[in-house]
Amino acid sequence: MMSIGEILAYEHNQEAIFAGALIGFANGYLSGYIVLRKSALMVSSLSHSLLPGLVVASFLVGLSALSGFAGALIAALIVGLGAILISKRSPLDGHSALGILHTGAFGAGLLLLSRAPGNVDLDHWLFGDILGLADADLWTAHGISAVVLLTLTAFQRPLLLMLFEPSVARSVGVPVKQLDHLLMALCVLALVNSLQAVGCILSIGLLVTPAAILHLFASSPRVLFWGGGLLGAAASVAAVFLSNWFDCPTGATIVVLLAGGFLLAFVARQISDAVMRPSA
Amino acid sequence: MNSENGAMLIPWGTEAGCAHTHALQVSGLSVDYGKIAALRDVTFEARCGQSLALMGRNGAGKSTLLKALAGLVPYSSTRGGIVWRGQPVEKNRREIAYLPQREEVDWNFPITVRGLVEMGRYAHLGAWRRFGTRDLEVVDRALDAMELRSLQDRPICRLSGGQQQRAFIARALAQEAHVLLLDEPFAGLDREAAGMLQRLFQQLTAEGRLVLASHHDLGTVRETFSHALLLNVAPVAYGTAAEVFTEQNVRLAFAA
Repeated sequence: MMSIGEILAYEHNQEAIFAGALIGFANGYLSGYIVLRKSALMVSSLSHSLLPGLVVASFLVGLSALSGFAGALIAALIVGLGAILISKRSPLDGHSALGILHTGAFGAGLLLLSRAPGNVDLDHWLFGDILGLADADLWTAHGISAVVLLTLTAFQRPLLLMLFEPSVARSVGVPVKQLDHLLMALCVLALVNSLQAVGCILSIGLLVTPAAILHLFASSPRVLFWGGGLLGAAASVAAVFLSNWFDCPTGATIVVLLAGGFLLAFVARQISDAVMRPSA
Repeated sequence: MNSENGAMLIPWGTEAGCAHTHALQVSGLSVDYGKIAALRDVTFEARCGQSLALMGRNGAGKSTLLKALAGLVPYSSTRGGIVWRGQPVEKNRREIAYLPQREEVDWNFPITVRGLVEMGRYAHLGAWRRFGTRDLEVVDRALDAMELRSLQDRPICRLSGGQQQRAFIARALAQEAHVLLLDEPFAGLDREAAGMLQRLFQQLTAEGRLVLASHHDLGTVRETFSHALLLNVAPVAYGTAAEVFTEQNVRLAFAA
Protein backbone atom coordinates (compact mmCIF):
# COMPACT_ATOMS: atom_id res chain seq x y z
CA MET A 1 0.00 0.00 0.00
CA MET A 2 1.30 3.44 -0.95
CA SER A 3 1.92 5.97 1.80
CA ILE A 4 0.20 9.34 1.68
CA GLY A 5 3.50 10.86 0.57
CA GLU A 6 3.81 8.42 -2.31
CA ILE A 7 0.29 9.14 -3.47
CA LEU A 8 0.95 12.86 -3.35
CA ALA A 9 4.09 12.42 -5.44
CA TYR A 10 1.99 11.74 -8.53
CA GLU A 11 0.93 14.88 -10.30
CA HIS A 12 -2.40 13.43 -11.39
CA ASN A 13 -3.18 12.64 -7.76
CA GLN A 14 -2.36 16.19 -6.69
CA GLU A 15 -4.67 17.49 -9.38
CA ALA A 16 -7.40 15.08 -8.39
CA ILE A 17 -7.15 16.09 -4.74
CA PHE A 18 -7.24 19.76 -5.62
CA ALA A 19 -10.16 19.37 -8.01
CA GLY A 20 -11.98 17.13 -5.52
CA ALA A 21 -11.63 19.68 -2.75
CA LEU A 22 -12.83 22.47 -5.00
CA ILE A 23 -15.79 20.68 -6.56
CA GLY A 24 -16.66 19.04 -3.25
CA PHE A 25 -16.69 22.40 -1.50
CA ALA A 26 -18.76 24.22 -4.14
CA ASN A 27 -21.32 21.43 -4.42
CA GLY A 28 -21.42 20.85 -0.68
CA TYR A 29 -22.07 24.56 -0.17
CA LEU A 30 -24.88 24.47 -2.74
CA SER A 31 -26.32 21.37 -1.07
CA GLY A 32 -27.51 23.58 1.81
CA TYR A 33 -29.73 25.52 -0.57
CA ILE A 34 -31.03 22.34 -2.22
CA VAL A 35 -31.92 20.78 1.14
CA LEU A 36 -33.69 23.96 2.30
CA ARG A 37 -35.44 24.22 -1.08
CA LYS A 38 -36.54 20.57 -0.53
CA SER A 39 -35.78 19.82 -4.16
CA ALA A 40 -33.38 16.86 -3.98
CA LEU A 41 -35.53 14.64 -6.21
CA MET A 42 -35.96 17.41 -8.74
CA VAL A 43 -32.21 17.98 -8.93
CA SER A 44 -31.74 14.23 -9.21
CA SER A 45 -33.93 14.01 -12.28
CA LEU A 46 -32.23 17.11 -13.61
CA SER A 47 -28.87 15.34 -13.31
CA HIS A 48 -30.09 12.45 -15.47
CA SER A 49 -31.59 14.85 -18.01
CA LEU A 50 -28.24 16.47 -18.67
CA LEU A 51 -26.70 13.44 -20.36
CA PRO A 52 -28.11 13.82 -23.90
CA GLY A 53 -27.28 17.54 -23.88
CA LEU A 54 -23.69 16.86 -22.90
CA VAL A 55 -23.30 14.08 -25.46
CA VAL A 56 -24.72 16.17 -28.31
CA ALA A 57 -22.50 19.09 -27.31
CA SER A 58 -19.42 16.88 -27.28
CA PHE A 59 -20.30 15.52 -30.75
CA LEU A 60 -20.86 18.95 -32.22
CA VAL A 61 -18.09 21.09 -30.77
CA GLY A 62 -16.16 18.92 -28.33
CA LEU A 63 -16.80 18.93 -24.61
CA SER A 64 -15.71 22.07 -22.83
CA ALA A 65 -17.14 23.96 -19.86
CA LEU A 66 -19.11 26.28 -22.11
CA SER A 67 -20.42 23.70 -24.56
CA GLY A 68 -21.12 21.31 -21.69
CA PHE A 69 -23.09 23.93 -19.79
CA ALA A 70 -25.01 25.01 -22.91
CA GLY A 71 -25.89 21.43 -23.81
CA ALA A 72 -26.79 20.55 -20.24
CA LEU A 73 -28.89 23.67 -19.78
CA ILE A 74 -30.83 23.09 -23.02
CA ALA A 75 -31.50 19.47 -22.07
CA ALA A 76 -32.54 20.49 -18.54
CA LEU A 77 -34.84 23.21 -19.89
CA ILE A 78 -36.49 20.86 -22.37
CA VAL A 79 -37.16 18.29 -19.65
CA GLY A 80 -38.17 20.82 -16.98
CA LEU A 81 -40.42 22.94 -19.16
CA GLY A 82 -41.76 19.84 -20.89
CA ALA A 83 -42.82 18.42 -17.54
CA ILE A 84 -44.61 21.68 -16.66
CA LEU A 85 -46.36 21.72 -20.05
CA ILE A 86 -47.52 18.10 -19.72
CA SER A 87 -48.81 18.60 -16.18
CA LYS A 88 -50.76 21.69 -17.28
CA ARG A 89 -52.23 20.16 -20.44
CA SER A 90 -53.07 16.71 -19.12
CA PRO A 91 -54.42 15.05 -15.98
CA LEU A 92 -50.87 13.88 -15.18
CA ASP A 93 -49.04 15.49 -12.24
CA GLY A 94 -45.65 17.20 -12.58
CA HIS A 95 -43.68 14.44 -10.83
CA SER A 96 -44.99 11.73 -13.16
CA ALA A 97 -44.27 13.90 -16.18
CA LEU A 98 -40.75 14.54 -14.90
CA GLY A 99 -40.29 10.81 -14.31
CA ILE A 100 -41.18 10.03 -17.92
CA LEU A 101 -39.12 12.79 -19.46
CA HIS A 102 -35.94 12.47 -17.42
CA THR A 103 -35.66 8.72 -17.91
CA GLY A 104 -36.45 9.20 -21.60
CA ALA A 105 -33.74 11.84 -21.89
CA PHE A 106 -31.26 9.69 -19.99
CA GLY A 107 -31.99 6.71 -22.24
CA ALA A 108 -31.56 8.86 -25.32
CA GLY A 109 -28.20 10.01 -23.95
CA LEU A 110 -27.11 6.39 -23.48
CA LEU A 111 -28.17 5.48 -27.02
CA LEU A 112 -26.26 8.45 -28.42
CA LEU A 113 -23.17 7.45 -26.44
CA SER A 114 -23.34 3.91 -27.81
CA ARG A 115 -23.10 5.36 -31.32
CA ALA A 116 -20.22 7.67 -30.37
CA PRO A 117 -17.19 7.66 -32.67
CA GLY A 118 -13.98 6.38 -31.14
CA ASN A 119 -14.02 4.54 -27.83
CA VAL A 120 -16.06 6.49 -25.30
CA ASP A 121 -15.90 5.15 -21.79
CA LEU A 122 -19.50 5.13 -20.66
CA ASP A 123 -18.51 4.64 -17.03
CA HIS A 124 -16.73 7.97 -16.89
CA TRP A 125 -19.85 9.81 -17.97
CA LEU A 126 -22.07 7.98 -15.56
CA PHE A 127 -19.88 7.57 -12.51
CA GLY A 128 -17.07 10.09 -12.90
CA ASP A 129 -13.32 9.78 -13.26
CA ILE A 130 -11.62 12.32 -11.07
CA LEU A 131 -8.22 10.68 -11.50
CA GLY A 132 -8.40 11.27 -15.24
CA LEU A 133 -8.74 15.05 -14.94
CA ALA A 134 -6.95 17.10 -17.59
CA ASP A 135 -5.50 20.56 -16.98
CA ALA A 136 -8.32 22.24 -18.88
CA ASP A 137 -10.89 20.48 -16.67
CA LEU A 138 -9.17 21.85 -13.59
CA TRP A 139 -9.51 25.43 -14.82
CA THR A 140 -13.12 24.76 -15.62
CA ALA A 141 -13.67 23.49 -12.10
CA HIS A 142 -12.05 26.64 -10.71
CA GLY A 143 -14.28 28.90 -12.78
CA ILE A 144 -17.56 27.13 -12.15
CA SER A 145 -16.90 26.75 -8.42
CA ALA A 146 -16.11 30.45 -8.13
CA VAL A 147 -19.28 31.44 -9.97
CA VAL A 148 -21.46 29.17 -7.82
CA LEU A 149 -19.93 30.29 -4.52
CA LEU A 150 -19.90 34.01 -5.31
CA THR A 151 -23.47 34.03 -6.60
CA LEU A 152 -24.81 32.11 -3.61
CA THR A 153 -22.97 34.36 -1.15
CA ALA A 154 -24.02 37.56 -2.90
CA PHE A 155 -27.70 36.64 -2.88
CA GLN A 156 -27.73 34.84 0.45
CA ARG A 157 -30.24 37.13 2.19
CA PRO A 158 -32.94 37.19 -0.48
CA LEU A 159 -32.39 33.47 -1.08
CA LEU A 160 -32.88 32.76 2.63
CA LEU A 161 -36.08 34.82 2.73
CA MET A 162 -37.31 32.91 -0.31
CA LEU A 163 -36.42 29.48 1.09
CA PHE A 164 -38.00 30.18 4.48
CA GLU A 165 -41.24 31.84 3.41
CA PRO A 166 -41.63 32.34 -0.34
CA SER A 167 -44.93 34.18 -0.06
CA VAL A 168 -43.75 36.57 2.65
CA ALA A 169 -40.54 37.16 0.70
CA ARG A 170 -42.60 38.13 -2.33
CA SER A 171 -44.60 40.56 -0.21
CA VAL A 172 -41.47 42.49 0.79
CA GLY A 173 -40.33 42.75 -2.80
CA VAL A 174 -37.96 39.76 -3.21
CA PRO A 175 -38.06 38.59 -6.87
CA VAL A 176 -38.85 35.01 -5.85
CA LYS A 177 -39.37 33.54 -9.30
CA GLN A 178 -36.14 34.94 -10.74
CA LEU A 179 -34.15 33.80 -7.69
CA ASP A 180 -35.60 30.31 -8.02
CA HIS A 181 -34.52 30.18 -11.65
CA LEU A 182 -31.08 31.42 -10.66
CA LEU A 183 -30.81 28.63 -8.09
CA MET A 184 -31.78 26.04 -10.70
CA ALA A 185 -29.23 27.44 -13.17
CA LEU A 186 -26.55 27.15 -10.46
CA CYS A 187 -27.63 23.54 -9.91
CA VAL A 188 -27.11 22.79 -13.60
CA LEU A 189 -23.67 24.45 -13.44
CA ALA A 190 -22.73 22.45 -10.35
CA LEU A 191 -23.96 19.24 -11.96
CA VAL A 192 -21.82 19.86 -15.04
CA ASN A 193 -18.93 20.64 -12.72
CA SER A 194 -19.27 17.44 -10.72
CA LEU A 195 -19.63 15.26 -13.81
CA GLN A 196 -15.87 14.73 -13.85
CA ALA A 197 -15.74 13.87 -10.16
CA VAL A 198 -18.83 11.76 -9.54
CA GLY A 199 -20.58 11.44 -12.90
CA CYS A 200 -24.18 12.27 -13.62
CA ILE A 201 -25.82 9.44 -11.69
CA LEU A 202 -23.97 9.96 -8.40
CA SER A 203 -23.78 13.75 -8.56
CA ILE A 204 -26.94 14.16 -6.50
CA GLY A 205 -25.14 12.58 -3.53
CA LEU A 206 -22.67 15.43 -3.40
CA LEU A 207 -25.50 17.95 -3.88
CA VAL A 208 -27.70 16.77 -1.01
CA THR A 209 -25.89 14.71 1.60
CA PRO A 210 -23.32 17.20 2.99
CA ALA A 211 -25.94 19.72 4.15
CA ALA A 212 -28.40 16.97 5.06
CA ILE A 213 -25.88 15.68 7.63
CA LEU A 214 -25.61 19.12 9.23
CA HIS A 215 -29.35 19.76 9.05
CA LEU A 216 -29.69 17.09 11.75
CA PHE A 217 -27.89 19.34 14.24
CA ALA A 218 -27.49 22.89 12.96
CA SER A 219 -29.65 25.84 13.89
CA SER A 220 -28.19 28.27 11.40
CA PRO A 221 -28.37 28.13 7.61
CA ARG A 222 -24.78 29.34 7.38
CA VAL A 223 -23.62 26.19 9.16
CA LEU A 224 -25.38 24.18 6.45
CA PHE A 225 -23.67 26.15 3.67
CA TRP A 226 -20.09 26.42 4.95
CA GLY A 227 -20.13 23.12 6.84
CA GLY A 228 -21.65 21.41 3.80
CA GLY A 229 -18.77 22.79 1.73
CA LEU A 230 -16.20 21.44 4.17
CA LEU A 231 -17.83 18.01 4.36
CA GLY A 232 -18.10 17.82 0.56
CA ALA A 233 -14.44 18.73 0.19
CA ALA A 234 -13.32 16.33 2.93
CA ALA A 235 -15.24 13.40 1.45
CA SER A 236 -13.86 14.08 -2.03
CA VAL A 237 -10.25 14.31 -0.85
CA ALA A 238 -10.57 11.22 1.35
CA ALA A 239 -12.05 9.33 -1.58
CA VAL A 240 -9.00 10.05 -3.75
CA PHE A 241 -6.78 8.38 -1.14
CA LEU A 242 -9.15 5.48 -0.55
CA SER A 243 -9.47 4.77 -4.26
CA ASN A 244 -5.67 4.71 -4.51
CA TRP A 245 -5.35 2.29 -1.62
CA PHE A 246 -8.21 -0.05 -2.41
CA ASP A 247 -8.38 0.41 -6.18
CA CYS A 248 -12.05 1.42 -6.04
CA PRO A 249 -13.92 4.00 -8.14
CA THR A 250 -13.59 7.49 -6.68
CA GLY A 251 -17.08 8.81 -7.44
CA ALA A 252 -18.76 5.89 -5.74
CA THR A 253 -16.41 6.25 -2.77
CA ILE A 254 -17.34 9.94 -2.33
CA VAL A 255 -21.07 9.31 -2.15
CA VAL A 256 -20.72 6.19 0.00
CA LEU A 257 -18.55 8.11 2.49
CA LEU A 258 -21.15 10.87 2.66
CA ALA A 259 -24.10 8.50 2.97
CA GLY A 260 -22.26 6.59 5.71
CA GLY A 261 -21.61 9.90 7.47
CA PHE A 262 -25.30 10.71 7.26
CA LEU A 263 -26.33 7.39 8.79
CA LEU A 264 -23.84 7.86 11.65
CA ALA A 265 -25.11 11.39 12.24
CA PHE A 266 -28.69 10.17 12.20
CA VAL A 267 -27.96 7.52 14.83
CA ALA A 268 -26.04 10.08 16.92
CA ARG A 269 -29.03 12.39 16.81
CA GLN A 270 -31.42 9.65 17.86
CA ILE A 271 -29.18 8.90 20.82
CA SER A 272 -28.78 12.55 21.81
CA ASP A 273 -32.56 13.06 21.57
CA ALA A 274 -33.10 10.08 23.85
CA VAL A 275 -30.55 11.38 26.35
CA MET A 276 -31.90 14.94 26.30
CA ARG A 277 -35.49 13.85 26.89
CA PRO A 278 -35.31 10.81 29.13
CA SER A 279 -38.85 11.32 30.43
CA ALA A 280 -40.53 11.49 27.01
CA MET B 1 -36.19 57.70 15.63
CA ASN B 2 -36.80 58.62 12.03
CA SER B 3 -37.04 55.93 9.41
CA GLU B 4 -36.07 56.74 5.83
CA ASN B 5 -39.36 58.11 4.63
CA GLY B 6 -40.14 60.30 7.57
CA ALA B 7 -42.54 58.00 9.35
CA MET B 8 -42.26 58.31 13.12
CA LEU B 9 -42.10 55.32 15.37
CA ILE B 10 -42.05 55.53 19.12
CA PRO B 11 -39.16 53.56 20.62
CA TRP B 12 -40.34 50.53 22.55
CA GLY B 13 -40.02 50.66 26.26
CA THR B 14 -40.53 54.42 26.53
CA GLU B 15 -43.86 55.71 27.75
CA ALA B 16 -46.42 55.56 25.02
CA GLY B 17 -47.21 58.82 23.33
CA CYS B 18 -48.28 58.38 19.76
CA ALA B 19 -47.43 61.39 17.64
CA HIS B 20 -48.97 60.08 14.45
CA THR B 21 -52.23 58.61 13.32
CA HIS B 22 -51.41 57.08 9.98
CA ALA B 23 -54.43 55.62 8.27
CA LEU B 24 -54.92 52.39 6.39
CA GLN B 25 -57.78 52.96 3.96
CA VAL B 26 -59.38 50.09 2.13
CA SER B 27 -62.01 50.89 -0.48
CA GLY B 28 -64.07 48.59 -2.64
CA LEU B 29 -61.63 45.69 -2.31
CA SER B 30 -62.55 42.37 -3.94
CA VAL B 31 -60.60 39.12 -4.29
CA ASP B 32 -61.52 36.19 -6.52
CA TYR B 33 -60.01 32.72 -6.49
CA GLY B 34 -60.86 31.60 -10.01
CA LYS B 35 -64.63 31.75 -10.22
CA ILE B 36 -65.11 31.88 -6.45
CA ALA B 37 -65.61 35.26 -4.83
CA ALA B 38 -63.50 35.29 -1.66
CA LEU B 39 -64.08 38.95 -0.77
CA ARG B 40 -66.64 41.40 -2.07
CA ASP B 41 -66.41 45.18 -1.91
CA VAL B 42 -64.70 45.58 1.46
CA THR B 43 -64.35 49.15 2.68
CA PHE B 44 -62.99 50.36 6.01
CA GLU B 45 -60.46 52.71 7.51
CA ALA B 46 -58.20 51.88 10.45
CA ARG B 47 -55.62 54.04 12.19
CA CYS B 48 -52.42 53.55 14.13
CA GLY B 49 -53.16 52.87 17.75
CA GLN B 50 -56.09 50.63 16.94
CA SER B 51 -56.36 46.89 17.07
CA LEU B 52 -58.82 45.44 14.63
CA ALA B 53 -60.30 41.97 14.84
CA LEU B 54 -61.41 40.33 11.58
CA MET B 55 -64.25 37.99 12.41
CA GLY B 56 -66.58 35.68 10.55
CA ARG B 57 -67.23 32.03 9.84
CA ASN B 58 -64.71 29.84 7.97
CA GLY B 59 -64.44 30.99 4.38
CA ALA B 60 -65.70 34.48 5.24
CA GLY B 61 -62.51 35.98 3.80
CA LYS B 62 -60.53 36.85 6.96
CA SER B 63 -57.27 35.27 5.81
CA THR B 64 -57.84 36.48 2.28
CA LEU B 65 -58.20 40.07 3.46
CA LEU B 66 -54.94 39.83 5.43
CA LYS B 67 -53.17 38.30 2.44
CA ALA B 68 -54.51 41.00 0.11
CA LEU B 69 -53.28 43.69 2.50
CA ALA B 70 -49.86 41.98 2.59
CA GLY B 71 -49.70 41.80 -1.19
CA LEU B 72 -49.81 38.01 -1.25
CA VAL B 73 -52.96 37.63 -3.36
CA PRO B 74 -54.01 39.83 -6.27
CA TYR B 75 -57.07 41.98 -5.65
CA SER B 76 -59.33 44.20 -7.67
CA SER B 77 -60.94 47.41 -6.58
CA THR B 78 -63.74 49.54 -7.90
CA ARG B 79 -62.34 52.53 -6.01
CA GLY B 80 -59.08 53.42 -4.28
CA GLY B 81 -57.87 49.91 -3.40
CA ILE B 82 -55.49 49.86 -0.44
CA VAL B 83 -54.04 53.19 0.67
CA TRP B 84 -51.52 53.48 3.49
CA ARG B 85 -50.40 56.93 4.71
CA GLY B 86 -52.06 58.55 1.70
CA GLN B 87 -50.21 56.44 -0.88
CA PRO B 88 -50.86 53.12 -2.61
CA VAL B 89 -49.77 50.41 -0.21
CA GLU B 90 -47.13 49.10 -2.64
CA LYS B 91 -45.03 52.21 -1.96
CA ASN B 92 -44.31 51.30 1.65
CA ARG B 93 -44.53 47.51 1.82
CA ARG B 94 -41.78 47.37 4.42
CA GLU B 95 -43.98 49.12 6.96
CA ILE B 96 -46.50 46.31 6.83
CA ALA B 97 -45.56 42.95 8.30
CA TYR B 98 -47.51 39.76 7.66
CA LEU B 99 -47.36 36.94 10.22
CA PRO B 100 -48.57 33.66 8.73
CA GLN B 101 -50.66 31.07 10.55
CA ARG B 102 -48.39 28.89 12.63
CA GLU B 103 -49.02 25.73 10.60
CA GLU B 104 -47.88 27.53 7.43
CA VAL B 105 -44.38 28.04 8.84
CA ASP B 106 -41.58 25.51 8.26
CA TRP B 107 -40.50 25.13 11.90
CA ASN B 108 -37.72 22.74 10.93
CA PHE B 109 -35.91 25.52 9.09
CA PRO B 110 -32.47 25.72 10.74
CA ILE B 111 -32.65 29.12 12.36
CA THR B 112 -32.48 30.52 15.88
CA VAL B 113 -34.87 33.04 17.39
CA ARG B 114 -32.26 35.74 16.93
CA GLY B 115 -31.60 34.68 13.33
CA LEU B 116 -35.33 34.95 12.63
CA VAL B 117 -35.57 38.42 14.15
CA GLU B 118 -32.47 39.53 12.23
CA MET B 119 -34.30 38.62 9.02
CA GLY B 120 -36.58 41.57 9.80
CA ARG B 121 -33.63 43.88 9.12
CA TYR B 122 -33.10 42.49 5.59
CA ALA B 123 -35.91 44.73 4.35
CA HIS B 124 -33.79 47.72 5.45
CA LEU B 125 -30.35 46.41 4.55
CA GLY B 126 -31.10 44.88 1.18
CA ALA B 127 -28.90 42.07 -0.05
CA TRP B 128 -25.47 43.48 0.73
CA ARG B 129 -25.32 46.18 3.40
CA ARG B 130 -23.68 45.11 6.64
CA PHE B 131 -25.40 44.86 10.00
CA GLY B 132 -24.56 48.08 11.82
CA THR B 133 -24.75 48.90 15.51
CA ARG B 134 -28.21 50.37 15.05
CA ASP B 135 -29.43 47.18 13.39
CA LEU B 136 -28.12 45.14 16.31
CA GLU B 137 -29.79 47.53 18.76
CA VAL B 138 -33.11 47.26 16.99
CA VAL B 139 -32.88 43.46 17.06
CA ASP B 140 -31.96 43.51 20.76
CA ARG B 141 -34.88 45.79 21.60
CA ALA B 142 -37.30 43.67 19.58
CA LEU B 143 -36.16 40.57 21.48
CA ASP B 144 -36.47 42.41 24.82
CA ALA B 145 -39.92 43.75 24.00
CA MET B 146 -41.14 40.22 23.29
CA GLU B 147 -39.31 38.81 26.33
CA LEU B 148 -37.27 36.50 24.13
CA ARG B 149 -33.73 37.60 25.01
CA SER B 150 -33.02 34.52 27.10
CA LEU B 151 -34.29 32.30 24.26
CA GLN B 152 -32.42 34.08 21.47
CA ASP B 153 -30.09 31.17 20.65
CA ARG B 154 -32.82 28.54 20.69
CA PRO B 155 -33.81 26.98 17.34
CA ILE B 156 -37.37 27.96 16.38
CA CYS B 157 -38.44 24.31 16.34
CA ARG B 158 -37.97 24.18 20.12
CA LEU B 159 -40.32 27.03 21.01
CA SER B 160 -43.77 26.78 22.53
CA GLY B 161 -46.75 28.13 20.58
CA GLY B 162 -46.77 31.45 22.40
CA GLN B 163 -43.02 31.86 22.01
CA GLN B 164 -43.29 31.13 18.27
CA GLN B 165 -45.92 33.83 17.94
CA ARG B 166 -43.77 36.31 19.88
CA ALA B 167 -40.71 35.48 17.75
CA PHE B 168 -42.58 36.46 14.62
CA ILE B 169 -43.89 39.65 16.26
CA ALA B 170 -40.29 40.44 17.24
CA ARG B 171 -39.29 40.05 13.62
CA ALA B 172 -42.02 42.52 12.62
CA LEU B 173 -40.68 44.94 15.24
CA ALA B 174 -37.15 44.56 13.87
CA GLN B 175 -38.59 45.36 10.44
CA GLU B 176 -39.95 48.55 12.08
CA ALA B 177 -43.36 47.72 10.73
CA HIS B 178 -46.26 50.06 11.57
CA VAL B 179 -48.95 47.60 10.63
CA LEU B 180 -48.98 44.01 11.88
CA LEU B 181 -51.19 41.54 10.02
CA LEU B 182 -51.66 38.34 12.02
CA ASP B 183 -53.52 35.26 10.82
CA GLU B 184 -55.22 33.48 13.76
CA PRO B 185 -52.57 34.45 16.33
CA PHE B 186 -54.52 33.00 19.25
CA ALA B 187 -55.15 29.61 17.66
CA GLY B 188 -53.69 26.80 19.73
CA LEU B 189 -52.35 29.03 22.54
CA ASP B 190 -52.98 28.05 26.15
CA ARG B 191 -54.67 30.51 28.48
CA GLU B 192 -51.42 31.94 29.83
CA ALA B 193 -49.84 32.49 26.41
CA ALA B 194 -53.08 34.01 25.10
CA GLY B 195 -53.15 36.44 28.05
CA MET B 196 -49.58 37.47 27.33
CA LEU B 197 -50.29 37.99 23.63
CA GLN B 198 -53.33 40.08 24.58
CA ARG B 199 -51.13 42.35 26.74
CA LEU B 200 -48.55 42.61 23.94
CA PHE B 201 -51.27 43.75 21.53
CA GLN B 202 -52.18 46.52 23.95
CA GLN B 203 -48.52 47.50 24.25
CA LEU B 204 -48.05 47.52 20.46
CA THR B 205 -51.08 49.71 19.83
CA ALA B 206 -50.17 52.04 22.71
CA GLU B 207 -46.83 52.55 20.95
CA GLY B 208 -48.67 53.64 17.83
CA ARG B 209 -48.88 50.47 15.80
CA LEU B 210 -51.92 49.17 13.99
CA VAL B 211 -52.70 45.53 14.68
CA LEU B 212 -55.04 43.57 12.40
CA ALA B 213 -55.75 39.97 13.28
CA SER B 214 -58.21 37.30 12.27
CA HIS B 215 -59.93 35.97 15.33
CA HIS B 216 -62.77 33.62 16.10
CA ASP B 217 -63.46 33.79 19.79
CA LEU B 218 -66.52 35.94 20.36
CA GLY B 219 -65.89 35.66 24.10
CA THR B 220 -62.52 37.44 24.12
CA VAL B 221 -62.79 39.83 21.19
CA ARG B 222 -64.03 42.85 23.20
CA GLU B 223 -61.23 42.72 25.76
CA THR B 224 -58.52 42.10 23.15
CA PHE B 225 -59.37 44.44 20.28
CA SER B 226 -60.52 48.05 20.07
CA HIS B 227 -62.31 47.59 16.75
CA ALA B 228 -63.85 44.78 14.77
CA LEU B 229 -64.77 44.03 11.18
CA LEU B 230 -67.41 41.35 10.71
CA LEU B 231 -67.04 39.63 7.36
CA ASN B 232 -69.20 37.28 5.38
CA VAL B 233 -67.39 37.60 2.03
CA ALA B 234 -68.90 41.08 1.97
CA PRO B 235 -68.48 43.25 5.07
CA VAL B 236 -71.35 42.92 7.58
CA ALA B 237 -70.40 45.50 10.18
CA TYR B 238 -67.44 47.67 11.11
CA GLY B 239 -66.82 49.84 14.15
CA THR B 240 -65.65 49.69 17.74
CA ALA B 241 -65.81 46.23 19.19
CA ALA B 242 -68.76 47.28 21.38
CA GLU B 243 -70.78 48.60 18.44
CA VAL B 244 -70.22 45.68 16.10
CA PHE B 245 -71.33 42.74 18.15
CA THR B 246 -75.07 43.16 18.15
CA GLU B 247 -77.12 40.02 18.01
CA GLN B 248 -78.33 40.83 14.52
CA ASN B 249 -74.83 41.44 13.11
CA VAL B 250 -73.53 38.22 14.55
CA ARG B 251 -76.46 36.33 13.06
CA LEU B 252 -75.83 37.90 9.64
CA ALA B 253 -72.13 37.16 9.76
CA PHE B 254 -72.39 33.55 10.78
CA ALA B 255 -75.35 32.64 8.56
CA ALA B 256 -74.10 30.27 5.90
